[in-house]
Amino acid sequence: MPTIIFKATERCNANCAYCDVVHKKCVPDMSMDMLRLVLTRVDGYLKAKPDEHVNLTWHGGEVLMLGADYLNAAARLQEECCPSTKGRISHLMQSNLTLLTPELVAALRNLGITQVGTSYDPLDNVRGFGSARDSDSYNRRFFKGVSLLEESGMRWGLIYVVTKKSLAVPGELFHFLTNISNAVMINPVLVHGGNQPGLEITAEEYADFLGEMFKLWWPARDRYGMVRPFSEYYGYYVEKDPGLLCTRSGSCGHNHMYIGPQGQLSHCSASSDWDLVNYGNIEDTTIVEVFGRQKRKDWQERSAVLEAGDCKGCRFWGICHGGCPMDSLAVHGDLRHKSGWCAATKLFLEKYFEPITGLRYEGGCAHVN
Amino acid sequence: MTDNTKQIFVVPFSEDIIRKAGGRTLAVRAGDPGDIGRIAAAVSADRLHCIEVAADSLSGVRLEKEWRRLPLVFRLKSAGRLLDCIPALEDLRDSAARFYLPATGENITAARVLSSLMVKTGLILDGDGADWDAMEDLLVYDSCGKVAHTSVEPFLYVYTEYKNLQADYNELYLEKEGTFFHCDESGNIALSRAALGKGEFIGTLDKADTIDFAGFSLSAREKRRGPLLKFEGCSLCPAWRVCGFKKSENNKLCAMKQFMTALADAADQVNKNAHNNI
Repeated sequence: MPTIIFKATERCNANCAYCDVVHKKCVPDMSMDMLRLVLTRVDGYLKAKPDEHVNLTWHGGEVLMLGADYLNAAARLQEECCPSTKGRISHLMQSNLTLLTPELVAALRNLGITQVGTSYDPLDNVRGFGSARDSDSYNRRFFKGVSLLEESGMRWGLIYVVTKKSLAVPGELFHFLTNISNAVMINPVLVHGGNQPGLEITAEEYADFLGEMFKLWWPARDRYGMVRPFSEYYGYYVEKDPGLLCTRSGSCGHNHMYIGPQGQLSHCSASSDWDLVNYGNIEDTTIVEVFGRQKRKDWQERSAVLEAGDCKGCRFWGICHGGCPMDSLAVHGDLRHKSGWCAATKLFLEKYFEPITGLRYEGGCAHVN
Repeated sequence: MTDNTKQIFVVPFSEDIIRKAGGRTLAVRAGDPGDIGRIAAAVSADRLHCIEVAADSLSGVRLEKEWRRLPLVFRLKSAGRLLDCIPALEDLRDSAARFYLPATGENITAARVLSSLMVKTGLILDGDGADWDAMEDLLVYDSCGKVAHTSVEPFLYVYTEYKNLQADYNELYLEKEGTFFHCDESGNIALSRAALGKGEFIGTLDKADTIDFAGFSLSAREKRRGPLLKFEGCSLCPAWRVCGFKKSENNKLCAMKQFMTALADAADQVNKNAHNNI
């Protein structure tokens, strides 16, 4: 199922310390004409692929800055441009929720959105408004938004980004995050271009941070709902459940693309934010063509290259697949290398996950490249 | 757990109040056990959340056979002399009624005995004056005991609901703000029993259609998250999801953290045992 990371805006009302978009010179929002073209292209793709569904993931910037009128217009355009394929389009969304209003909730419903992905950090001055990064008002508005979402019967999941500031308080953060959400994902901060001074962590630090959290998660794991990567690894170890995150799946070359506000095409949000991949513009091509390009074949061949190269003999190949291709591209300029975060995966699994659970990964993979 | 979108009105028993409440869901406070039959006749089963009855002790309670399936909630000051309950024991254990007691040491012991006698009981944890050590012992019995017994509230609620972060056992006491709205004999509405007592009204029953209950529900949800605005105290407590207090001030002096943590662990064990058919 293709996932299209879709940025209709790069504007944002927040100033999160680790955000790449904040440091970019923002382009204007996607015009209605461009939005119509995008949806027409999606319709064309789905007509060419009658068995496919598309996940259209609204991303930013902050999506809610587009306003309810824009989102409602998008729903109307979808009716107009995709009359026979709209049933195979699923809209997802990432938002900081600080701008959520009842009108925006209605607009989200109009697009068929019933759950929202968000991010949060309770530590001061990591996420906040303005140059001073005011966390207090940010946090209040975040919880107001979350409460409105829940009151409206919608669900939400939380991404927590581990930074240098997080490292001293893994246990406290674990309890805090699981006290606010039953769907938590714990990711390392991704630093590119030196835009996030003082926040960067090493692979070892990330592994040890996860390890301290894992010691709390494991004994009471049924209580906490989904906590990734723990739930993900556990599911994979026990059931070979192929529900791996895109950075570990080894399959994003088959099914990811990005469309920016001006129709610019790339692989994913990271590849666009870091200016790593350019597939041209949606005005000049179709989605079928983008997925069929030669450049994409490099992505699809990456697994074979890694298995014979950087990842040869690695016991955890089936659960890691060399990590995120963007990391290879950012550091080496090509896709032929494993991610630097692979060291974190390996360290976490060997030092914490396997000794604590008594499980051992014996290789094998339910996922087919 | 009650539906988050539903409002339940806690009202005194009067024909006038019940008429003013219209088709709304009601928890009716009976001034006297003799009112139970009249309340059941006045409020249809689909609108009746419960009938709350205040009484001094269990030994004074006599349940009529026709009340057996009614959702009765007795708030007692004490269990009284348990020997005096024997004549009514079969009626007590056969009914749907649950008997709540303040969480003093004596009452906690009584709850254990009653639970063993298959009488449905509950303990009221609405202040930090509970005997937390005795509560822990009762929890061990309730969650791990092999002898047949009825589970004591709010333990049963927590075992069932604790994975839901919106769950709040205070709803057993009709005190979940935003869900339960308390009314007096004049039809004034307040957000809690305490607010009702202070005269902090939000409107009246006869004009309830003009009150933004959804807004109060949303505000209550935000208020319950208040301690999460700080990275300290209750927000970091491993027992947050089961605790019915959640006040961030004085957390270093929190007397109930140990018990609440044990309660969460007990819920894990109970659910694990159920999953493994133990």
